[in-house]
Amino acid sequence: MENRVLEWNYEIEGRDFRNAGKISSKVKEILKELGFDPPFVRRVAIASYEAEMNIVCHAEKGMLHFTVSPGELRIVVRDKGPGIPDIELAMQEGYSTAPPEIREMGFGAGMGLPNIKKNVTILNIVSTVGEGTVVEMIITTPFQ
Amino acid sequence: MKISYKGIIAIDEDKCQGCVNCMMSCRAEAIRIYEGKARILTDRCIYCGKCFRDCPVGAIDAKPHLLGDLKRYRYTIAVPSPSLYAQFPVSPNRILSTLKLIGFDDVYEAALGAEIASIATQEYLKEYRGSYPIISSLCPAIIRLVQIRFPNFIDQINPIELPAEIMAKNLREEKTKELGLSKGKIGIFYLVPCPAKMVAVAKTETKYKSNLNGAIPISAVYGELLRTIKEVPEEEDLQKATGTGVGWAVKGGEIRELERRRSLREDKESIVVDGIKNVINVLDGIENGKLRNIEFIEARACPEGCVGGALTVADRYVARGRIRKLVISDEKESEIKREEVIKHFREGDYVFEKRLSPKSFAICLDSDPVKAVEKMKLRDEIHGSLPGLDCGACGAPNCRALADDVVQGRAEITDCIFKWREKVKDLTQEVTHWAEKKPHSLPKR
Repeated sequence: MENRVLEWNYEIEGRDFRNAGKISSKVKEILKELGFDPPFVRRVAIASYEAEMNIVCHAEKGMLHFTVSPGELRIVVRDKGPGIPDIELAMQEGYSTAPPEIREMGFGAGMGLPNIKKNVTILNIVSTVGEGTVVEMIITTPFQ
Repeated sequence: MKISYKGIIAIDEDKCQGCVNCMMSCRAEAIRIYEGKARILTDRCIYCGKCFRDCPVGAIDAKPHLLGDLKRYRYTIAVPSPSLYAQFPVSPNRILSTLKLIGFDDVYEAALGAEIASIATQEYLKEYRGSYPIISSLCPAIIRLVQIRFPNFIDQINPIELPAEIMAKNLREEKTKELGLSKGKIGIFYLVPCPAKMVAVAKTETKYKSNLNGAIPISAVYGELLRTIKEVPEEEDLQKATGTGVGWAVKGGEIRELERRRSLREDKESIVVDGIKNVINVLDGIENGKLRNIEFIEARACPEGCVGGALTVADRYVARGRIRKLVISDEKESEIKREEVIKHFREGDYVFEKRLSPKSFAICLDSDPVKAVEKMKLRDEIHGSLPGLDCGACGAPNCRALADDVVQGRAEITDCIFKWREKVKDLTQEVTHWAEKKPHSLPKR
């Protein structure tokens, strides 16, 4: 069992829009190499991209921890940033705290967290205002 | 000796020096150097022909149908890709007339098929309710790239046939009636700018059998055309296609007509992408959700579009200029009857007969998920131990690819010259260690 768990750690820089999306591309490549179903890969790609973008748009820096184990994938994204004062509000579609300059570029439409929720099995968010946010996503895999 | 891959790509092993140029330039990571020669991994190859161009000694080429094959038919028809018009600084009519002098009984333009394909695409877009973006189906290398690396998007490929296939189907029906010959006596040959289109004819995956009898590289008839082009007694009026169809030879030509016909949505964006690396980046961005709201992608493996194909001769930038001139100066009305095309499209014409299927085996490490996980662990471990220079000296295009090959049993870790040197060093130290050992009966030095 133990040796059937794979894990990766990636760093994500806040405000680094040029490289934004590279980590979720890596996550996606790994899943393709492991032979997961294309629609499943797409779901995980979208969820991890949104989580990555949350760090790029809002936080100073963060980490993405990705594990593949029999039956489930787990992606934990941890950042040092402003935190989310009202998680319930942030989960509503269209609610956004992104600064205007980021919105103008087509980001921060307030779909990030709702989009993640749509694509994962379990979503846990723990946030401390002024310190940072931890987003845990668990996705049940189609095979054992 | 020539080694043939899928009967289409041929590597001349007498010419191949085993350098790494083709391997390093291949975006599909489909080439390895083995025993001093380039080898193609056909399950990864997308037949774009980039390696043909990048080989410094011209060892990689297409294995073509030759003009001699024409003798097997009673009546032969050439269907040239519009990229042929860009090969010579003369009018399309002159080039088309020359084709009739070098052995073809008749000539019909693939560009005319492109005009039909465009109308069919416009109709398809109108009724479309599926996922976006829709991906153009003109470039078979891109279709294969999607099958291998982006299986998510397979059902988003525009299911309209290649223009030359559309032409060939109509032609065979018309000509059998007109000439009173059986279907098998008529040979219809597509003059192509790239190996991808040759494979699309020889091993079509969108229909049960191609309507074309073969594909001949433009480069294979270029010399003959050049010799004969001045001997044309009188130019026949063979060019029926307008700028709409001719424009398909360059990037942007397909979308241009869709824009002109206002069949693209106002609320979405449509893009033209050329070059395999660029296409991979764009599709990757779409898959992540980074690029959104795109309706149509005109993706071409070759820079500048089909005029940049590996089996063309003229410089791709000059060629693009020539096509643009033809498109701009053309004010003819298309002879294609729109209403008729729409009627045929509604009856199911012009559309793929077979559904495309993914070929994800090329990327997937193992079909057994448990083994795939084990292989990935080992692969990442090996990758981490390699120098990361991506030098290619081992015969794989980069360190990750070598690590892949090792876990798949295609290579050994000591193929890496740095790893091999470490082994030699370790061995030397061990030899020294043993050489310094003496029996205790001898005095210490």
